[in-house]
Amino acid sequence: MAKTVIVIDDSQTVRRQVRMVLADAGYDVVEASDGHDGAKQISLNAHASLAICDINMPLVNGLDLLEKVGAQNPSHVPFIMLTTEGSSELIERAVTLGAKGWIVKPFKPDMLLAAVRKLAGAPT
Amino acid sequence: MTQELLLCSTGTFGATARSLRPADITLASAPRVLVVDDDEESRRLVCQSLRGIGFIVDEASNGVAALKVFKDRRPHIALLEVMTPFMDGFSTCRAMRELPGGEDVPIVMITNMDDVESLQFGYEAGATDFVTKPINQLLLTHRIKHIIRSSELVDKLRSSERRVAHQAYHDALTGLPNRRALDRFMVSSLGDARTARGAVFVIDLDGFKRVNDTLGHAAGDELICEVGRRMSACFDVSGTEASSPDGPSRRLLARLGGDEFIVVDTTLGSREEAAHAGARILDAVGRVYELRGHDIVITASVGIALLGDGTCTVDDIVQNADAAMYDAKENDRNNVRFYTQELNERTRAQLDIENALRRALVDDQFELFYQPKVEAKTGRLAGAEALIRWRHPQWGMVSPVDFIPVAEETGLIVPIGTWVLRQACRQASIWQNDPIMAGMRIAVNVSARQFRDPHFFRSVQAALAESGLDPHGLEVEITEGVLMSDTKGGRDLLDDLKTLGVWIALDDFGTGYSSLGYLRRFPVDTLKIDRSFVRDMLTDPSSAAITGAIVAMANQLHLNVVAEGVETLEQLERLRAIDCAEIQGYYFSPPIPAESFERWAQGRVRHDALDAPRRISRELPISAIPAMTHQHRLSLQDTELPGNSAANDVVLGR
Repeated sequence: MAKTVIVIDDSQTVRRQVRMVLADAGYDVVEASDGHDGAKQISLNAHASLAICDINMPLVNGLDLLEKVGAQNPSHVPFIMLTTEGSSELIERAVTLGAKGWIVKPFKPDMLLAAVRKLAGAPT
Repeated sequence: MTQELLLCSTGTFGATARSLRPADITLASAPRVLVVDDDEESRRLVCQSLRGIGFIVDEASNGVAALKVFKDRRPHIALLEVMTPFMDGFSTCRAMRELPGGEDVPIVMITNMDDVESLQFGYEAGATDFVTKPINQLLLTHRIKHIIRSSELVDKLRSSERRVAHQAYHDALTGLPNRRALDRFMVSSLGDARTARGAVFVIDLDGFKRVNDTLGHAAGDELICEVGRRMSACFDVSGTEASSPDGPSRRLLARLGGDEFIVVDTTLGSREEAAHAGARILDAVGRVYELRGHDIVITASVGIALLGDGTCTVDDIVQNADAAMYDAKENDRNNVRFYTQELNERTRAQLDIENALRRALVDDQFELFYQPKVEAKTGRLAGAEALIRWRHPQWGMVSPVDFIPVAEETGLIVPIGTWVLRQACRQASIWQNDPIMAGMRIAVNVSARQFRDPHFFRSVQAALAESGLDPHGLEVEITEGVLMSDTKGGRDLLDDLKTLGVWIALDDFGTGYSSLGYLRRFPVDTLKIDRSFVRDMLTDPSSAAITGAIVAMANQLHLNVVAEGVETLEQLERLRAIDCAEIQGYYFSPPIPAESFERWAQGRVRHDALDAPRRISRELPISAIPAMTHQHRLSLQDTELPGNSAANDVVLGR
């Protein structure tokens, strides 16, 4: 069974781009379109290997989502933040909250895939 | 940084050792480099090479740490390995560009991806250059040095560009925006004249020149800076707002030069608000200044022009505020005046006159008229006062009342005054050789501004020298005000003139402070009783008393005394009765051109010749002193001024 990656981003374009890269590589991709939906998909897909999460989103932002999920379950799915943000304060907060990676958009497909492979392992 | 360092190459390709001169790089301190790589061995080699050529090296093993080090150490250049954990090199590069100082720093990516797509992506992320693995350490060091040099040049260009831009829009003394900044602000902030709102204040210090003259220019500069600070506080114009007039600021304070400032405030909606702000300026500027151990008080004149009330458009609002400021100056200074339409017409007329005056000097449009002074007792011609006239090619004769104040204000009075001196001396020199007019003195009026001009004395000497006039044939007429304003320098100048042999007359005596102390302190030869006393002396007892007192005092002090504005025989008789020495006025002649003056003098001689026996045998009766003949009056008609009144004889420099 293929490994599942949850993509949480309010931009449909970004979700599609990520899905294309990961699906081509053999991962299952689950999408969520805001922080609230993201929390729901994480709880529905407890077996997911990785979450790729935007920061600036409606309802709940990515870092608050990370904080919430992390507080509920210390062994939660690893997070890669995929964002246009590059401020070191935000990055440091993400590190503190346990994020495993930070990619500044726009992303380079092979770099994203390399990061996913490193954290989630091979697709199957 | 000057000694040669030996680079021991540790390059992948084992480059040979060679000597490099780190002095090739001209940074003030040793260049600082940040090396980011999670592969410790690779990072160690790069760091070692760079330290070997004198770099200070900071290291980081991932992007997050790299950003932290970057913020703390502000390196001159950063080397980022692309494949780093947590945050890849491209992401780190993008984040670094967002940091303060990160915008311009060279960032070199270390990568083994040399495909076009990766390079393209890296450049888009903000990379300056790429080094592909495996690294040749020698080439790397050269490459880094080259990039730093280029970046240094770019920095220099950028900072000199910034400096030039700052200088172009700021006043060097106060750091406030300048006139160009004002123009830019007007365009960007006021925009459409129909919808613009706000007020413009032109602020000029009163009597600032005296601070410069008495305490020196450095003190004057300090004062200007402090005035600038006070006004900044007054309008809440912070330094940054003021220095970026194209920002969102709605106010601008600028120094227009000298002691003139301008404030444009687009937040003021009403005349009352503007008046209130004007009063705040007067208060702020008027507080005591401590300047080099002196307490200085200086006031300001403020002119305000309002947008949105229909009188001003954006294009001429500054000019209008300026006109209002001059109006404030003319009204006792230290006050605030609003612009009115009427002021504008006056300003335009003044501007026209100013331009025409400059032309007049070049085109020789000035003429001198001469008004005789006659000895009251003998009827002998004692001298003449030279009075300037301006014959404009289109306007005809322009009254001195209209152009002398403009000449004073613009400083043109100095060259005009010099011309008068030269012309009068030349004429007097010719007349000295004429038996009829020999021995008469030519009086020339000297304004306060001319008197303060450092070249004045030399111009008197020059006028005398080139005309060959005996200095005793020249008299300078000054008013008391001239002595009041500049006592020490004034006294020295008068002494010098006196030593030269020139006569000195105090004009309009009795109207000013008439401090009798002047008469002792300054080497004065002549008092000229103001025409207003002469006019009223037959009807007003106090005018008669003052006239009598001045004459008596002059006689006691052995000073010459001249009554001006004598128009009737009755006035003449009264003045003669109280022993006034000389008479000047329309009774004898208005100011007339030189040729007419000569004819007038010759006519008098003929008359005198007829009366000669009587004159020799006894004092000439008053009624026998020849007034201007009917024939003379006719010959003058074409040259007289419009209105032909005594009031037109405003003398040069009043």
